[in-house]
Amino acid sequence: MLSELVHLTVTGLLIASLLALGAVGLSLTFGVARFANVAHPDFMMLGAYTTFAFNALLGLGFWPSAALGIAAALVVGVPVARIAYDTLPVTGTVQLLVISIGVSFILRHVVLFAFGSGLLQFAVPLQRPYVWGPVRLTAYQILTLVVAGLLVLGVHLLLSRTKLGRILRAMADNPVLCEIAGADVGRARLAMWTIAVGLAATGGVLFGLNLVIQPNMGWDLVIPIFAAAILGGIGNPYGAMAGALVIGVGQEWATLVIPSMYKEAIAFSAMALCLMFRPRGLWGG
Amino acid sequence: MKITRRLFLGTSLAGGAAVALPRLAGAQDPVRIGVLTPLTGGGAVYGTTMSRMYNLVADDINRAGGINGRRIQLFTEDAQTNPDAGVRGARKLVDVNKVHAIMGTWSSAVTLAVAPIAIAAGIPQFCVSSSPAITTYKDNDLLYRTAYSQANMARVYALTAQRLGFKTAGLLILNNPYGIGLGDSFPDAFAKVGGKVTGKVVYNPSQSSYRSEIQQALGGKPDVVLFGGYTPDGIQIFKEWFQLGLGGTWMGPGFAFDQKFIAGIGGQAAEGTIVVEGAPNAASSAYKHADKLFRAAHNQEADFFASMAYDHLMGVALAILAARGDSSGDAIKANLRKVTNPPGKVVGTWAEAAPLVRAGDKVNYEGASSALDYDEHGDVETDFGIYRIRAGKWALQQTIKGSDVKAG
Amino acid sequence: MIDYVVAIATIVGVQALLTLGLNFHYGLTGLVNFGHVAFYALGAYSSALLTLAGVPFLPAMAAGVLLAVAASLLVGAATLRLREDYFAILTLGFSELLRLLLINVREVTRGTLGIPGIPRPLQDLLGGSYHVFYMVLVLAALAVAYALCEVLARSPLGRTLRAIRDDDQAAMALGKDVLAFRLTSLGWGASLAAVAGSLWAHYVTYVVPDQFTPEVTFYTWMAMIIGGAGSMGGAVWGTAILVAVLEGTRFVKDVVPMIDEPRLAALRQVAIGLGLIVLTVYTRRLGGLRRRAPRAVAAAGTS
Repeated sequence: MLSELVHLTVTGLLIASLLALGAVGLSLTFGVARFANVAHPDFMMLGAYTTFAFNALLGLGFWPSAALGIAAALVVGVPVARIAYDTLPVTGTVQLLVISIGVSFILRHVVLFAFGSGLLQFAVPLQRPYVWGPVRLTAYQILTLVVAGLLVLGVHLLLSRTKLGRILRAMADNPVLCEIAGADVGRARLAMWTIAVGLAATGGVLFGLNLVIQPNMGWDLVIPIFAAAILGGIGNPYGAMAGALVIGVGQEWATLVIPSMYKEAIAFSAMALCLMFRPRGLWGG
Repeated sequence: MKITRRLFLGTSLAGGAAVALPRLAGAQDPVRIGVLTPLTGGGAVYGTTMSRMYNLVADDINRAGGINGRRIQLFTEDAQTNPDAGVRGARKLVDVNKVHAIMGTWSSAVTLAVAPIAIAAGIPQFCVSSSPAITTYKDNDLLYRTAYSQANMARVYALTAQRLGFKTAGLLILNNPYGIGLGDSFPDAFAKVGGKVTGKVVYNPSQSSYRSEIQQALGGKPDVVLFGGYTPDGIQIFKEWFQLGLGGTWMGPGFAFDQKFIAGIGGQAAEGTIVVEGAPNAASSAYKHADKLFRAAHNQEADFFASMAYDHLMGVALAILAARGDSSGDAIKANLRKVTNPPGKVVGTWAEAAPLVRAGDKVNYEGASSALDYDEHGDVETDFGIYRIRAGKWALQQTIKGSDVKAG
Repeated sequence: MIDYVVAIATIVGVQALLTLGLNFHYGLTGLVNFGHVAFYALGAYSSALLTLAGVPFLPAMAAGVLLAVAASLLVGAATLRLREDYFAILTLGFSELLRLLLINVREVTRGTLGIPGIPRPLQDLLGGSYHVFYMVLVLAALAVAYALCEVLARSPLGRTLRAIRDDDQAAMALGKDVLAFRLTSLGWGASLAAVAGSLWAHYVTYVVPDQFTPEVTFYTWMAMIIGGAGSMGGAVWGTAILVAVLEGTRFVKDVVPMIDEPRLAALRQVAIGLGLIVLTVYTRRLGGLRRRAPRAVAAAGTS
């Protein structure tokens, strides 16, 4: 029983790392741009596919492919976000919501058209795990945990120690005041999208490395990622990571009592309960 | 709303349709065969193979003058390994193309979704699906299956496990008719040969991770784990399993552990995996001819699925010939077993069979995939090959005959 | 040609019922319902299962409507107090949760096998021209629904709903039970979707969870935006235009044979995505998505 719990916890931590890379960026943009970008997890998918293109189609090694892939995802994703969300004339959040649905449709189905619906893998050799008692992790999996942790730490440092971070936090609190105070809101938004898309793309590459690549890999995570961001309190990256841990590990532990096919219901229920009873999140201010 | 051209055209009924094909009376009216196989999706490799074989057989028969002068015309629709697409394709084949038979449905979900349409139209359907439900389906004797049933497969796996010395088994099965069917039949079959199932885990396709499910299935440290899924999920599951370093031996069907699977996970992870697949009726003239046709056109040997495709079309063509060119559903039904089942002169190719059937002699078509003796449910008895993956290839270990399976 | 037109008309009819329902939710009441397909699915599955169990067509459809309304009230009671993006995400999650249940509660729904052989009402009596009869049935249902929607929209109920949509704080201050009105709207729209689902199930005679993905919901959003959110007539002709335009793409396969069905389907979805973006932004004057009263809305770039 204990070893089963350990197994589930390890799996949960891995899933949580991936969710965190999506949730932290989402929390940032949701807090600053103030709308739910349903297409955000699709930036993860974008990162996975661009890396796949360099790796499996052009034959480059995994590391160069990942670097180029994330760069390519930024080159595509940031302008898409800027155009769709920052420059189109809209009068309200509903329009942004609908636009984000449109962006998601476009991203997913362009990828589907180009790569097909099949499950894809990076061309990397399979690894044997390191074993510490009941804990079993391969080198890539350890890397995933470490990278996720470092990136989230990086975001925290950025928000708390840099001028950009101060501007972003101020925008989340009161955007109009920011503009009046002369802050370069436009550049801050550009930076915000770059961070969000970059985190997501990295998450997508790690997802593909550990699991599988398919066109709906991002869309399938919409509910868990939103749940994590909401649980953590919108605009709070550490909260988003904590939320990701709760959702990731919680879903795995839940399989002890509910059939594993209903795992996805956990994230939805957590999100619904949180919104009904504590909408600012467990760690939100 | 899944709106498609097929649905529009397909839901128009024969009736007073202004766009109906002009009815060509008499002997020149081609025999229209609907080919409904997966050309995309999880079953794409098999659907493509079968589609190719149908074309080869149709050409073969047409070159010899067709069925009493009527050429065979194929209409192909992609079932996409998806019942919804399969239904739309079937509607088009039946309502617009007015086919005399549907053949090639691969996935059990597709077969079972399409069956009511064929039955309502009074035309026979030939499938290669394995769901046990197909045996007992109330099909008005119109649904035929040339593949094994999962109910039999369960017994085959049990025999395989027994012969290889495994006493305990775990189950990791897909949440669909094929997987669930296997999960329901295997425990009893295994118990009958003295084995014990240590655990049964059901998984959904397109999950992010299968770590928990894999660990659960291997939990009771079984001698072997039976995998009831398809190649795409198989690749992902095996990758995670290998990287968990848990060890263990796997057993599963040929269509999950095919070359694409081996290429996907690499020879090292696939090494030692046990594969059970239908074995073609290699000694028959039918198989030899089918293999020759396929190699000539595609430089590849005819596998179990290609063999079944050959048998579907040959059976129907011979039945229509025996009915003196009557291609109605009733005529095919009435004559199919007359040409495929004993007694009669054993035949396997059009060249051998056609003159005899035309002369009114009784034949017994022995197929490329099996002896093709359709029982009262429209099922046949097939042989099985047990293989182990060695250095990235299937290596035949032994054969299990259909009669051994029945004995259980 | 005739068969083609009859088929399109039938499908427009079913889809327009969905659009009318969504228009009630969003156009009239301002509810950002991203889970509309759930009510459609409940109507379709209920009707299918009940008619296969011997229940006559109309009672089976009614049962589906009741189920969909009950679900909408449940979801609404839990989520209507939340701000619109949370409501949107939750309704989306709800429709996906329902799809998860449809796939996994195999004992009831037969999961991914789907439910084939759904009986068609009066099929035995009508034989050859059945498809024409069915089209008439669907269009009649649409006509009735449209009339009811127009009446409701012009009634005091409709006025209150619009007031709530535009400024719910003011409506509350005037003593209106905002939650109750929103629930009423949610229920009515859900029942229209359930009727559409039932009509769909008996038309294609086969239902499977794959048919009830969020794509259906957003297709409906697109139809509503084309005709102008808030306009009942617009919901109907917007649907007709969308279906007509997308049908043109069906024949690409004849002209450009190297595009297979799944690829073609992908292109269609890209078109819907683009359409959603373009129309959302540019149909303000055509009555597309309503202008919201400013309510601490972020400065999304320019505004």
